[in-house]
Amino acid sequence: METDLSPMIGNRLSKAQQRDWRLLVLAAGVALILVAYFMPMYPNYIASARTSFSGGTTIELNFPALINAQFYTQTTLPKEETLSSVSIHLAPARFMHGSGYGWLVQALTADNLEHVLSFIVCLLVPVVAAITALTLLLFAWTSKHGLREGLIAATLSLSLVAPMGLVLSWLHQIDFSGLLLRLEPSYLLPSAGFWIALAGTLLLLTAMIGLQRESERRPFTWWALVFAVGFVAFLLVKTKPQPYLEIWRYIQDGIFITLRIVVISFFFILIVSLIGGLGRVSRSPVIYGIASLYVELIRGIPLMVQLLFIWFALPQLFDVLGMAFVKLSPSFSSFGQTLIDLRLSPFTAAVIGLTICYGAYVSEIFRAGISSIHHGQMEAARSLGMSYMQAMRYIILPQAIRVILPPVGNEFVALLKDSSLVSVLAVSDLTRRGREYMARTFLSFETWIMVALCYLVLTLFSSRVVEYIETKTRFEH
Amino acid sequence: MQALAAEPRAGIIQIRNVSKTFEHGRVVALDDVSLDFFPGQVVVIIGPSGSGKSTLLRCINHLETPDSGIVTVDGVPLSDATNINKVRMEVGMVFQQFNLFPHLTVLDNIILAQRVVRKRTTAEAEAIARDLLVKVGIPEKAEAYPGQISGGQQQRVAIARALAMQPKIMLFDEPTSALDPEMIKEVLDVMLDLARDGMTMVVVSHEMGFTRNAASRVIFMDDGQIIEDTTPQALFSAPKEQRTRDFLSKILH
Ligand SMILES: Nc1ncnc2c1ncn2[C@@H]1O[C@H](COP(=O)(O)OP(=O)(O)OP(=O)(O)O)[C@@H](O)[C@H]1O
Ligand SMILES: [Mg+2]
Repeated sequence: METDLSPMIGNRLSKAQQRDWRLLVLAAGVALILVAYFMPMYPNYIASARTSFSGGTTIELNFPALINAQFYTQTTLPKEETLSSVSIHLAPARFMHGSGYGWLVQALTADNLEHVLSFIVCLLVPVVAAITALTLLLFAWTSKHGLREGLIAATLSLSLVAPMGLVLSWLHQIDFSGLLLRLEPSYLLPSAGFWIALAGTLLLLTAMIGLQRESERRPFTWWALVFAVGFVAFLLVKTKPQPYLEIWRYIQDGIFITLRIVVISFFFILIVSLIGGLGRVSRSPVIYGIASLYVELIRGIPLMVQLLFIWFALPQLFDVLGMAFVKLSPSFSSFGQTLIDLRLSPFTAAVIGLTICYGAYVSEIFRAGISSIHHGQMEAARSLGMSYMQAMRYIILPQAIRVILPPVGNEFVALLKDSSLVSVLAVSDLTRRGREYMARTFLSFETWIMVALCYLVLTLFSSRVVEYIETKTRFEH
Repeated sequence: MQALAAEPRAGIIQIRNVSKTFEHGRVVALDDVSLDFFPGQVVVIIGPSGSGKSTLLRCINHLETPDSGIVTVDGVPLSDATNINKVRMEVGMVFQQFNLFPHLTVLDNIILAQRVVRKRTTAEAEAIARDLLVKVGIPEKAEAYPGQISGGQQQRVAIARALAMQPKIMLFDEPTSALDPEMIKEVLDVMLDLARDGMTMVVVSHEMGFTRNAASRVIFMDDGQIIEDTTPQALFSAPKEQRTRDFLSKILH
């Protein structure tokens, strides 16, 4: 059965293929989810909660404000008082015994939709995944085109986030109890509908991971992971605004600074590497020697040390040089003074440091790419009267680019991660913003989870883009 | 070594006492070679592997720099580096491995050097390229990439690419030895046409049919030296040297 699976995409499925275990598991998952949503899922909910403080302040919250409760209570938390008592009023779900559909209908008809939006999204994802999976199945079973490649990717993405969505929808029920409401989570334990739906989503995921092998479009399918990680971050912010929304707001500009540093550095890295790479294949011993010395020396020094050197030691070097010029002769004194006054901004220092360091590594990639082109290409170009530089520009580099691009793309992703080191230079990048927030609140777990998720989204996203460009630039040899 | 019957014209290529060694003098590729090629001549060079045939060709357009001696092309001595690109425009070269540019279409392969070296406009260059594709018999492959056409077709494109620069001399380094037998003829036919048109050609090849039909002169090389320099008839009927006889008996079976 495993052997004749290759033509499942674009061809009518044979009888045996229609009974493929993955399609059957997928069907079971769809059925479980759709049925489970009619069964009680969250039969009880917190109708209202009254929190009293030592100074006499009380905070009263009602459903659905409670969905976003922490966000609100945190903002109105009395600063000088301590928590004295919490009384919680549980109520049975009013509509359809608290089934998934019941909650959806109720939430969708709530007055202030934006308060419950994240809850709706969490609860909706498994159903949407089930519907997409069902569409995939129906096409597979009835259409003469068999499996739809695009649907595989979409269903896989949704199947990845469906279990998370379900679990997070449950957290909605209890999570705001964390700081103010001392509530036992067991009060709000979900019932059968939840567990069956969860089992269904896991079946979907299993089936889709199996089916994913049918698709040739791996790069596209892996976008699912980017999407999933981004979605986790989004849900964290939405379901636990305290502290995640606050962390997000705090580290947001760090992301832009990180991106700016990386993009600007990368631009200069490419220029340096082109020169370095050409130097490393040069037949002139002087140019070759200088380029090799640069590559060998820089690759032998840790990036962190290079950054610290540029930030702390370089200004001293400039001072000494400037003084020397001032003393040397009055005609040089203004130039010397400029050197003494020269102060790199942390941002500039970071860009210079990353460029110098990564330039060395990427130079080697350029060198390898250029020398991978058969020397006959250079000879043919030269025999037609092209100069060395013309041959490089029109013949060698356009071919080398295709060899160079994938590893250089990987270097971009590595640069994105290594850029976190510039936080030692007082650059307010993503990492440094995270450190600052943690120093203020001591919420280390939450802070670093958010920072890690942000980096993950950026790196996974860039990896996919690199992969995409790579497939686009392949050519017939 | 015997000079050909008195030549009234000046050599378009003059090779004077050229020597070339590799690996720090351990391998002698050319050993004090002196030679003239005249306009309109079709010269075939034969000789055992490693005898220096390719090196001789590559010295003519300076892909190799001679250790000593002087090569003069159309009156321009190659010792002066500034002349090299100018001279290379006048000397087309066709390689054993075709060396087409795989990232460019057949048409762009022929256009590129015309534009960047000869400074022709794209329209001019394209017109010339299309004419040449007709001449080598594959106008329909203009938009194809080298990887999509056969070896024989690739070699014909390579010839067209070299001709597009309107060279005065064409060098061929074993143009058919990387080809499947059924494709050899189509390339040789193009070369025969070229010879009939009066192009000056220096061809390293062991295709004896081509030598009989097109060559005006055959040179036998061994150990970096010119052993015999004569007409095809003379070489095939009465080779002077024992080495030549041995070699010919090997390649003619
Ligand atoms: N780039 C090089 N580096 C080192 N040795 C070389 C180089 N090019 C040629 N040689 C050597 O010089 C000698 C002459 O080589 P050449 O390529 O001119 O011979 P050839 O007559 O063309 O041989 P073939 O029929 O095999 O092509 C050979 O011994 C070869 O090994
Ligand atoms: Mg050779």
